[in-house]
Amino acid sequence: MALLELRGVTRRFGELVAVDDVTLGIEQGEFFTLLGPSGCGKTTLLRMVAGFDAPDGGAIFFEGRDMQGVPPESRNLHTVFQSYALFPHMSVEQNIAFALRMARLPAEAIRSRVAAALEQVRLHGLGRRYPHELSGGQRQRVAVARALINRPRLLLLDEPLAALDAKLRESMQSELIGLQREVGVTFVYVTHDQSEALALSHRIAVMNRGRVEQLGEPSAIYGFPRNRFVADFVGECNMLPAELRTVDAGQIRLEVRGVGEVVATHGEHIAAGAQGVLALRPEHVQIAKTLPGEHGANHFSGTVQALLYRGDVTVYTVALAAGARIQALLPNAGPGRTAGLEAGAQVQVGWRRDAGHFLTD
Amino acid sequence: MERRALRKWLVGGPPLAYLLFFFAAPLAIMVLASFRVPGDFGGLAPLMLEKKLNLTTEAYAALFSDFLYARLFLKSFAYAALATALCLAAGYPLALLIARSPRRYRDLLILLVILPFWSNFLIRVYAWMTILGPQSYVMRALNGVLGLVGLEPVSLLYTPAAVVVTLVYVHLPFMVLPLYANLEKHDPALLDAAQDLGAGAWQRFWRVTFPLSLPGVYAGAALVFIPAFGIFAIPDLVGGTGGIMIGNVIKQQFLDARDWPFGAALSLVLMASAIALAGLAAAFGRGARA
Amino acid sequence: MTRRPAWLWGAAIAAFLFLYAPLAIVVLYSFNDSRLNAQWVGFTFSWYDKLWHNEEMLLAARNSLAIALAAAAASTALGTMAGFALHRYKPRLLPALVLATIAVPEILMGVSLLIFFVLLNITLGMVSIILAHITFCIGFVALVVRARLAGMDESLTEAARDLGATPAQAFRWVTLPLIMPGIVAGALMAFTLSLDDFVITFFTAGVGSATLPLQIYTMVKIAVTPEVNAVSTLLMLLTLTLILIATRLSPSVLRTEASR
Repeated sequence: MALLELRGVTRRFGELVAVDDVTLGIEQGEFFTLLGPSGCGKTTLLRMVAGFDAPDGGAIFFEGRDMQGVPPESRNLHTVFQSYALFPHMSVEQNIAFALRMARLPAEAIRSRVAAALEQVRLHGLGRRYPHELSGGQRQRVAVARALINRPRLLLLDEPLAALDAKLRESMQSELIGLQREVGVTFVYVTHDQSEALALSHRIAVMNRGRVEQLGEPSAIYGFPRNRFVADFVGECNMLPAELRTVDAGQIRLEVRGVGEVVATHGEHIAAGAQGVLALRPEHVQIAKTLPGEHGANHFSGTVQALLYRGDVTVYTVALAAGARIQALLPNAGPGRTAGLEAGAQVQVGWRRDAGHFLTD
Repeated sequence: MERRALRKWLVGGPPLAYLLFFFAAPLAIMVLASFRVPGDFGGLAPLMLEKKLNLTTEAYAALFSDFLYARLFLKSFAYAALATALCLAAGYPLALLIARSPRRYRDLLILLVILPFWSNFLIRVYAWMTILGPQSYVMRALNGVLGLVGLEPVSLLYTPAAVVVTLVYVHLPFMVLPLYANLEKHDPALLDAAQDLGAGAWQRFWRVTFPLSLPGVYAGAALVFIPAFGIFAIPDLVGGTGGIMIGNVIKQQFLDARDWPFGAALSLVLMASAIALAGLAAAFGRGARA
Repeated sequence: MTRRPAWLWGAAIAAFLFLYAPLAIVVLYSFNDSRLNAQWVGFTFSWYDKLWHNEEMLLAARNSLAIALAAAAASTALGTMAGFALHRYKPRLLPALVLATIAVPEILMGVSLLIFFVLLNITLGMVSIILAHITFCIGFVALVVRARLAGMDESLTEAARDLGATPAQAFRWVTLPLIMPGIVAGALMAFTLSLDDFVITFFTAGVGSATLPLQIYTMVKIAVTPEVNAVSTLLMLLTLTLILIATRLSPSVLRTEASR
């Protein structure tokens, strides 16, 4: 049975539906992420799991028990707040020990476990310091240690790395993954940063306007987005309006506006004539002066309009002969690199038939 | 959650009960008292007299029939209004100066304004009795000057003038604080913009600063006027017979003449006028925002 | 360019002089070797000496202190509860009552309490004064505590609850320590307000329970001697110290006054 189950959870604030009939199950030991733009309801959902808010409809089951009416202090799960919420009048040690003190553990046990926790988050020796004397990264670790000290079954993390700068964020991400695997606690992580979600999670629930748009593993979310929102929100994507011409055993032909006839894949049942969008990731688009001919591949000709140099890769904007603009991502080093592509160059553009997805909503 | 409701009553209940019992109830009883008959030895006569409810509107009748009291209300209003205006004139420059001072001095300066307020009210009144007394240096200098010009010496103590000056002195901090709270929030860029567009110093004040400060002005005016309207200690000490205000009459009814219903009626009329004026001030304040 | 022209400085300085000169005169004349507050004759401590031997004055001082301590203690407890309730539960009646106690002219409160006590057959004395003082002090403490709570980070109490603290524990270990400076400031304010009160005490005091302000009033009305100056100076010193401590602990004491 799932450790945390949300069944039809709904929350309204007046006219606004913040969480709309969300159903999902989170397994023991998972690193599960709620990903979405601000206002999508992910934080509201988190607060309801923590007990600071109650759903208007549906139910939340934790460890098999219905959490309705159960106050936050009685739930065996803890939260790492976005602002860390470290008690300013207590030292690091006292902050970390708080949950144990509330549970009335004997002083000796508290002391030894706090010392162990400090070691685990690599804050050894800083026990006597106060929050205002710590750096952002150190405070973040105190918040995590404080929440893990009494071994909860579930840890909720509300955008804990949002306040850190990019480099620090990256190192904290690896630390968090390591910690989660080591301690075995189930993480429910909230973020709007899709690259972070992809890097950290076992599974991701992509949310928009209170609903779960897609639930799955990172590779599935990225590689097979179910609809336009997911394709666009997670990673970069070319979105080209298209109409379905024929369906033929897993292979479909599309008439893509400004492009021409395109072969793509689509998993679900759809009929010819359907309107939609061709979702094509830039890294799947090959451009070169000449492309080797491949049976069934999509080939078109075009002109390079612009380049965006990003150090490790370059993003090319190419205007196809039929009019559409497509973005292609090419590495700047290694076997995939292509020389001699400046603005104005005439090129051939192509992609494999299974690289593009046809999305209807 | 039930428990939250219980906590709400446990925490908010006792102070609420206390205030209802010792604040709201006495005021309500005072309303009732104003409709009763004075007792034989002062105070209030029994509520029930020979199985009849002993209520009457005598007190209000006496109040409204005798023009003396209307005049007294008007006089009190005039003194309080004058004191308020003077407080505004004296307090505005002070508030403005502090609001425009560098941040680190502001708290200190405001503290300096408030400190006299924390000395005992009577001390502040007594201080003015000293200054206005005929033997003081100030008065003697003043009378000396008047004498030079050929005028009779004046005695300022025990006059309405003394009442007004003391009222201003005692209430000045009440005007400065709300004004300051408002002025310090003004964006200095507004004045820069006005100056950039050609406004001179007076224009900048009259067309930018002052209109924006109106809510503070109304708040300060209310904080000065309403207490000043009902005050009795100041006219009692420095007003003499000429400077009596409505507060004195109320005090007399309760402690000297012992006509409590009448005193209660006077107090209620006082409270009603104070509330009406506060309501007006609030309405003006809202209007000023528009 | 300066936004503080010379005339503004002049007017402001004049206002400050206006505020402090009278008080300075009172203090000065407390050392004046003359019965009249008219001319400066010579320096003396004799008035302070007389004060020290003035039985009535000492009794009044003792009464004032006792009343202020009792009133401050009770109103701090009730006022803190009120401030917390105002912030957390947002009731409707309580804020109106609290504001009313501060806005209503003192003479009304004094008079209505007089009627009330007499009606209930409570003898006018120390007890009636204390009850009256608590009534007007609660509001001030409540506002100071509420301001302090408003400035506190809400997520801290949530974090405490999240980590297993009941609401009572969260209050005791997290909220209370963080608002303690505000509570102490409120207590000091209540003490000072009680010590200084004249009007309400005037109506609710009986015979034989004079407080310092009442005593000063009698002296000023009947027999003015520089002893009044002496007791005023001492009282000012005491109040000054208390208020300075209070503002150190909680700058919101100043803000509360300003935002009334």
